[in-house]
Amino acid sequence: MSECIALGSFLDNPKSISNGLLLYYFQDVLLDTPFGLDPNNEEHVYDMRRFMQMHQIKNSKSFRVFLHNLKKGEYFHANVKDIIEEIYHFDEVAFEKHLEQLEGAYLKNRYRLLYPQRYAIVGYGILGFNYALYSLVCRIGGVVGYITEKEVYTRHCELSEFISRVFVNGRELQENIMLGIQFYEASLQANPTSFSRKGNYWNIVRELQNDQLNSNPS
Amino acid sequence: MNFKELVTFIAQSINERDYQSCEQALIEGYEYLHQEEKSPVESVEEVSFYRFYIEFFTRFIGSDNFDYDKVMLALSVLEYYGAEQLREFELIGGLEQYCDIAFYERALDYHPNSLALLLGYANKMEEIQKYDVAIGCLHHALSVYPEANNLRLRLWDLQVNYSKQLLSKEILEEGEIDILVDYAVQTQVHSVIEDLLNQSRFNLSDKQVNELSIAQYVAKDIFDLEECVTLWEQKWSKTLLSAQAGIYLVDCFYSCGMLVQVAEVMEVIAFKEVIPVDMRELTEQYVEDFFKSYSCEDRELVVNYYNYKALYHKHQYELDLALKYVNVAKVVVEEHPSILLTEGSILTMMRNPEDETALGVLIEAAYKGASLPNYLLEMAHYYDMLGSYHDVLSLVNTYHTYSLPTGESLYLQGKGNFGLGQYRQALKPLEVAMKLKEDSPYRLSINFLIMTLCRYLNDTPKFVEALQYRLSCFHVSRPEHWETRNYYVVFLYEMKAYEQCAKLIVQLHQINQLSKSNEAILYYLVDAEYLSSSEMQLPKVTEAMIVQDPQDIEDYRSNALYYWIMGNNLESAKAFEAAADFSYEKGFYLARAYWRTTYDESLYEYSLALIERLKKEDVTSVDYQMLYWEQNIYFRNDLAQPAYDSFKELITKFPVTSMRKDSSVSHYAIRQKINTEKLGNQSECNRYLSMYTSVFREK
Repeated sequence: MSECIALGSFLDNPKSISNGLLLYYFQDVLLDTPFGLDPNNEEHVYDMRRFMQMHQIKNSKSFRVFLHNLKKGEYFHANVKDIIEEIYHFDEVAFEKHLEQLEGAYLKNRYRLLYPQRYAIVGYGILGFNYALYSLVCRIGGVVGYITEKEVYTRHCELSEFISRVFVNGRELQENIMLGIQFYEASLQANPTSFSRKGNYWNIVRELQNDQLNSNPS
Repeated sequence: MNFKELVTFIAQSINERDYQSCEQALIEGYEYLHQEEKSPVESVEEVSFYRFYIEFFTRFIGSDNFDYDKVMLALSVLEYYGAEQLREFELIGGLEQYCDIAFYERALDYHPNSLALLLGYANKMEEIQKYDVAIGCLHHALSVYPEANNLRLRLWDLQVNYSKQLLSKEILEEGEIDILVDYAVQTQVHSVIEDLLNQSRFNLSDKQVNELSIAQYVAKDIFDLEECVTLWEQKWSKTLLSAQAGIYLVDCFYSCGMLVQVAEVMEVIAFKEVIPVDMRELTEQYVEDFFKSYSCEDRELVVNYYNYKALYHKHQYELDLALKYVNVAKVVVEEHPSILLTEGSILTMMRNPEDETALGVLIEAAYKGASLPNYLLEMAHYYDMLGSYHDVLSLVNTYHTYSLPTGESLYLQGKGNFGLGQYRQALKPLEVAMKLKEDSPYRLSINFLIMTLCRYLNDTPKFVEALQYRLSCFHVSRPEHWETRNYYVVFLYEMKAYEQCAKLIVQLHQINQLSKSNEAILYYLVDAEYLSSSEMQLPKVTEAMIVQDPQDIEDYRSNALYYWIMGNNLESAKAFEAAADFSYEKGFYLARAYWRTTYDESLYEYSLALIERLKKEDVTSVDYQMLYWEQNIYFRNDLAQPAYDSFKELITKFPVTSMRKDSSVSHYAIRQKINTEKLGNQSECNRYLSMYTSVFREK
């Protein structure tokens, strides 16, 4: 279907699923290494700790619990699934009415983000985002020694199986990750094509795609 | 169970998400409706039954009972009754593998703004390689749902494929070349741009060549600002630019803080002529043509353009002008969240606490879909302006649960803690911010905050470290570099950080960059033995060095220091006092003057006047020693009552310092005994005497 993004590239190198997220959250990352960050780089360690704090991961135990739940489709994915179930049957008028009953700008934004996409993602929610986050947390956990290189590898082999069960092509997967980030930040802001990379996941994806195209011109 | 009850049951089970019994009921109902002999069914019920039928089976296509023909039959029943079918078309449009192109064209005619239908149609068109139609389709979808960023990936994919398709064609029309250049600029695919630039058959105009080379340049991994500026001045600025190429450049320059260039690029951006799009004219036959000719400018680029205009003027502190551009942008695209955020930040910068529009605009932005982290930071800035630091801190904390700390957020955290007087806590995030994220535009503000904090905490080494960073920001080749260093010599002197000051001043002295007025400080430092006189080998201080007609603080300061070194206490004190009139550091200069006068017993009246002035103008710089000497002067000059009061004031102000030793207690007691004796207050006198003897005896 798409000659640019094949799912095969994810399945050959499963840890590349989190490359986009790595670039999104951290600076000067090492994409080709298993951990993605440099354990000897103070900035990387600091950033990584702040990232773990963001997700309330305090120690090796909660790290493993977090990974387990992500893989099972808890957290964000579960949230999206509930919202989709709630709004799937509404037509536009009913949806507007439903929206009025909700409280808080950001809850409304999340509903408004998902509403036009509800038919497309009713099957898999934002499972792709969950998997990408799983891969990211799994990789950077190695920086502080929560996980070994070998385990990162085996976990990713298992992950690639999960991915191929749910997604048909790489584009679908990448789109799903983009939607997940937007859902997480409760944002209805568009990301136009522009230079500044910070806080713009779409630009990162575009650069990754461009790199891929340049490396193997068909 | 009659048919009506069945329909109610289906509705209920869908509501309760009991899909198994729902499916069973739908099959039974379908069979019932297609029986030859049945009691008549009301059309309302039949319509709602078929609605449920479509809704259920389009969702669970994996079910054994799913049959596309039956679903289409259900749709035709709805059509027969003339019922609304928008949602049903949308639902069936999701079944891409079953639907054909004709279905989508029909459906889009009913419901041209449905994302599901547009996506389905675009995918169909992609399959038969009609990329142009698919691209128009997605562009339209993005103009209706700008937040659907995931479509941009699909669009990029299509644009790449379309440009490859066009490139492989033998003969290209002019319009196609334009489109090709447009897409090459947008996708930044290396091979396509190379092909376009290198093959002569395309006959590109200068404008197009420029746009392509900009796209190629900004896509590079390594970015060299100076090279970029030269290229801009010599080549790119000569022609008009399309919005996309222009925004690439503006982005580059803006992120490097090159505001002049930003304004220049803005001048040469030219928008495409916007063809008004009216979806109501869309009818079945024209769907393909409509999307083929869809050529609206990407709304987000237009928003970006006005946003940058407003930001540019915001940075120039032309806030009214910035607001004007925001208003223009609001006319072009109504109620866009990023425009509203910019408006909020401009209103915040206007610093008008009574005006609540800024808050209103920010909340509006949240409801229009501004992303949560951006919103939280803008709100934090707003509360920072209001001075309610508890709110700032709680907002920043929430921000940190959604996003990693940035220079901006850490700055706000530090500012919040600083505002609440928690100096130690404030220092932590600021120091982290200084270590991280090289490119934060908040570094100078952070640095300034750290310097202020260190002054409050009396932490001279850290202060000097911050100062050194500030000095390193000025490039050595620039004249302001030396000016700033001289300025900081004074700063350190006024901080009483004499040792640090000495280090800095020696460097300046050795390369002859020490300003004239700061020479006095050098002489003072040598005189006070912070620098060894044998190493420096300065000429002796003479009357000739005195500035005869002192004008400003610098003249008075150097005079004061020269008089001091020459031992002329009165003149020195007078000059220091005059310097205090010019300075923000009144306490420092008045204290210097005061200490000069205490050396000379004959100047005691002047001394008392000075301490009086110190207490009035800068009470925080009055320390224990000064107060002790005030008391001492009164005592020596037989002024019993003020001496008595003054010692009492000293005790209440610095109880720990003044009473920490027995000897100081006995000193206090004996002094107060003499004072009260002189005043003729016998009972007080006896009290102090017994206090003195009690301390004495314990020894």
